[in-house]
Amino acid sequence: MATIAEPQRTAPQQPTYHEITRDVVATLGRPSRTYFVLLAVVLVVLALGAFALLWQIRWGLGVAGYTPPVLWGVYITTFVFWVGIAHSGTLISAILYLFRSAWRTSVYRTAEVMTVFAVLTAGLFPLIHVGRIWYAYWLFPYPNQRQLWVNFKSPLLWDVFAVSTYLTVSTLFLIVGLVPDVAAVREKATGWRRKLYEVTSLGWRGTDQQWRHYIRAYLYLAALATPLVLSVHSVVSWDFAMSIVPGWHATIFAPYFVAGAIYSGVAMVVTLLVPLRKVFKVERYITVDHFENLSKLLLLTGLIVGYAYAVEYFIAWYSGNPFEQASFYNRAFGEYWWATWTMIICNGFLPLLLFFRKVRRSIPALFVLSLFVNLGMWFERFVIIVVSLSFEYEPYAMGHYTPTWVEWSILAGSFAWFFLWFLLFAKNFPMVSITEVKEIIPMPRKARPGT
Amino acid sequence: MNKTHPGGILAAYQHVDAAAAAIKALKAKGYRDVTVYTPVPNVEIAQAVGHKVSPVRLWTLLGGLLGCASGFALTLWMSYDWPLVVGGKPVGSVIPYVVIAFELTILFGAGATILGLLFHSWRTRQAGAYDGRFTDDQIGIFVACPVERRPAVEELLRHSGAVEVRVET
Amino acid sequence: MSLGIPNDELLRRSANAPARGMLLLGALLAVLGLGLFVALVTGDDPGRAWRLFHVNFLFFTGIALGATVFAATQKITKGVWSGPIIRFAEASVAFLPVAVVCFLVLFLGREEVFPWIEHPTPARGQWLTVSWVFWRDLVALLALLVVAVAFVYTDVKPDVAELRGQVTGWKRILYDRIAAGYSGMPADQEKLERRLSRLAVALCVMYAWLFSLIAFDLVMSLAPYWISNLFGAFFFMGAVLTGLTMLGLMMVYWRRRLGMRDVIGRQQFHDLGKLIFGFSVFWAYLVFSQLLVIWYGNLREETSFVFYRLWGDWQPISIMVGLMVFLIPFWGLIWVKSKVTAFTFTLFVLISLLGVWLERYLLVQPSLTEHAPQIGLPEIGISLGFLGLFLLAYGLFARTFPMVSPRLTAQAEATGHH
Repeated sequence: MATIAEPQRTAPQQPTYHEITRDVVATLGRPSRTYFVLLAVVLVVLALGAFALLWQIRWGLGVAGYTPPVLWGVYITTFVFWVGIAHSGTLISAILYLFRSAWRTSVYRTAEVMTVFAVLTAGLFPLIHVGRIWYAYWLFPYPNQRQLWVNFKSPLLWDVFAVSTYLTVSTLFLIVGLVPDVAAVREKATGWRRKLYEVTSLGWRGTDQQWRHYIRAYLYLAALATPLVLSVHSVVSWDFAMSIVPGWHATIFAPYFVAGAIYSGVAMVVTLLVPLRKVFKVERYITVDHFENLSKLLLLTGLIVGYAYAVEYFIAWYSGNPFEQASFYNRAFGEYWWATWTMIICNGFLPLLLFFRKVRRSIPALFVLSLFVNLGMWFERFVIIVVSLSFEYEPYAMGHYTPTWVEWSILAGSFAWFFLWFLLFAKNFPMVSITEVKEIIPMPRKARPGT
Repeated sequence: MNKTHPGGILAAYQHVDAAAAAIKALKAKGYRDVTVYTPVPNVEIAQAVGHKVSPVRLWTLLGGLLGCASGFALTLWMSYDWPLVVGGKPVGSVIPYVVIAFELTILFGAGATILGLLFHSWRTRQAGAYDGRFTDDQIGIFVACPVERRPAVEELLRHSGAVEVRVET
Repeated sequence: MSLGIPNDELLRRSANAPARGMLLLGALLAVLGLGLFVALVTGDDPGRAWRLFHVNFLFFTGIALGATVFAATQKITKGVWSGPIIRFAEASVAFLPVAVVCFLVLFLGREEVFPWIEHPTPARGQWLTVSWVFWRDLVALLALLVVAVAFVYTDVKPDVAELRGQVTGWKRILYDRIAAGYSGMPADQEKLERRLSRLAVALCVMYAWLFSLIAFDLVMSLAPYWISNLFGAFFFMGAVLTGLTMLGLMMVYWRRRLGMRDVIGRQQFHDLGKLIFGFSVFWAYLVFSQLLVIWYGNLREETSFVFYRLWGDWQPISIMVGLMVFLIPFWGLIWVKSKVTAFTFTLFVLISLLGVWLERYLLVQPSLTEHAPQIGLPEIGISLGFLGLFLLAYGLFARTFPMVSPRLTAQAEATGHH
């Protein structure tokens, strides 16, 4: 590997605390015309998605492309996709916090915001999928006239608990992290913004007592979020693994889904950070080194995903179970071969490029790669869900599912929904943590550090 | 916010070691009502102030245990309240209920942590003069003290390297 | 912050670690245990001895590889805190050649261990035949041996160069040899670090793949129709846990032997304790992931393996495994105090290590015999024999190579990690 210039050696001096506050507060200034254009595009796409949803509510699920036995299609695929996206945010904000990784400080806020809005997006899909959206509250256990309780043995119900816990905890975690930052921004803001920050900073002043409880609480929240993030995508994977559909009933599903989730999520973080650092002019804080670390995470999780693909195929063959074997043969060479190969190439092979340092340190290359990984991971879920269902035990019950414009519009709408929140948040709250970026820089001292 | 501030001396520091030394000096002189503002949490300051570990951890632990217990209680009770055999599984199946119990452990644990944080921050709230710089790059020390002792405190703070000292009434 | 003992003294001790006790104990246990093994194999129940041989071969190979892989992960993640203790993990690489020999010995007892030799499983076809299984697993073990040794060798090299002056006699000759091409100049150092990180990545990737293969071939295949595609990952993660717990015990031991109380401090205990805690939880997660899917799917070929162990004669062992690998270390190591206190740390780490041994025993034994669990002289004796072999190999490493890396300790010092 050729040696290329090492930015950390030529990087300018560490920023001072004041510069950090100034630079991050600057990102909250008056939005440019591009911002409004983006916002308009997002709103139009969201309107399209909303229209498709209303159409489906009016005419019923028949307008979607469901063909028995494929009754889980794009909606469940997209649900899994968005829940997966969320995971890397918690990894970066909580797990790397426990590992004391200094590099996470300047990227974790973006990742965490992504987490919350991705779960917010994912949460829509079970509602869209059930069709009669107005009965969605039946999912929760509450005393009712029918005197029935929910079925706790159903993995779908575990999902209700897992996803709502995840949304709650990651939102709390985000807010707790935000409070000192909002307090810092509060001092610089004017007008209605100042009012907003005064309320949302919850009276934070950074007193010794506040910090004393704060750092402990933050640590424990991180410690709780860490197993939570493992559990959520495991539970999602069990939606499938609990049934005996060939291609679904696999013990490896839980860790495999978790790795895949983090993988897709890190790719999404890269996708979001590349434009964000340019627009917000925070290149000083989010450097090539951060991208290299992210790409190492991408490589690690990509390797785990590749391992899982290989083991799945191997055990399907090894099991000697003809249904299992046929299901996996069908994935690779059946009607949906293109989806399978998209997934294998994008997730299994492309990340191997990250073994090269040059690729890891090239932001354009990483950006393109992250888009491919996002694509590949959507198709992975499509393959697991749709292709397995379309090819079960009995040939007379096999069917081919093709999504209609309704599903595609709702899928597009989900991206718009996600970006709408993301854009609104990014202009109103600091997307780079002021406090944590300061924290990794020692406070100025009068005397030289003692021995 | 509407609470009347006690009067006292507010000092701003640029350097962390100077501030820590000032806190130690104040403590040695017997001033108890000292509030320190820092833009980031700092070990040196925390040591100078001399706090014990925050009791928030107890909240987390109790919340988690409560969540775990209520997860099992909820699932088992609801299963037996209206017993239905589903999918050939026992009416109350502990293995899958682990999932619910786990999620509630985390949910309650996190909720309790937040409540603990709010409760203890509220209980130990310090009212005093404040300046916006303390969330930016300076360290603030506020000493609440009656008028007659102010000159001595002012003197101490000024000599310990404060960039600014002002009297708050 | 300064070292409690003079730096020179530490350097001298590091290159001349007192390993005689370990070697003597190892030799004694190895001779007794293997004597017992030979006596049992030639006796009337050779199967029992061979099964125990297999369990211990898997367990100790797992420790050696797991610990080395942990060292590799530290290079990849640049975990400086582990600098002062990393050699205690790496030293276990010396057991790997012994492991390869054990594998060859296992070939002699293949009929007693692998049921598919006598009753071939038609579904597995040509995959499970004696020559194919033994050849590929031998190649896998050798490949892991080569990369692991190369990795440790590369990490030891700069320390050997630095400590050349501390040793005499044959060691001096060896040290000069090893350090011959190494000048210690920054360019050389950088080259070495690059090589080290590449070897570390290669070792981790190969370990995941090849140890999974070994798990499928040497453990999963013992139950002819059982499959679990998480099993490979479960097995190699368990091995990393044993590597960590072994490291924990060695850290406590060497800290006293080498007088490193000031170098190995609260930080190392705390971090290693957290890692072991984390791996215990992860182990439980992997167990649960398999249990839930198998229990829920309720397919005979999958449940028979699990239910046979969970209910009936093997239930006490299963419960013990759950307690010793997960619940006891979980509640033991969740507190900061118990992690940083040498006594409680040792206690819980030892329980975890023994728990994983029992887990390996539980994975292998019920597949091969209809007997209820037997824990008697053969079980304990053969296991102690393997422990002897492990200590012998480890002690030889400790006697030969520097047990504390001055450069990695200095790095940890520089960042205040101790």
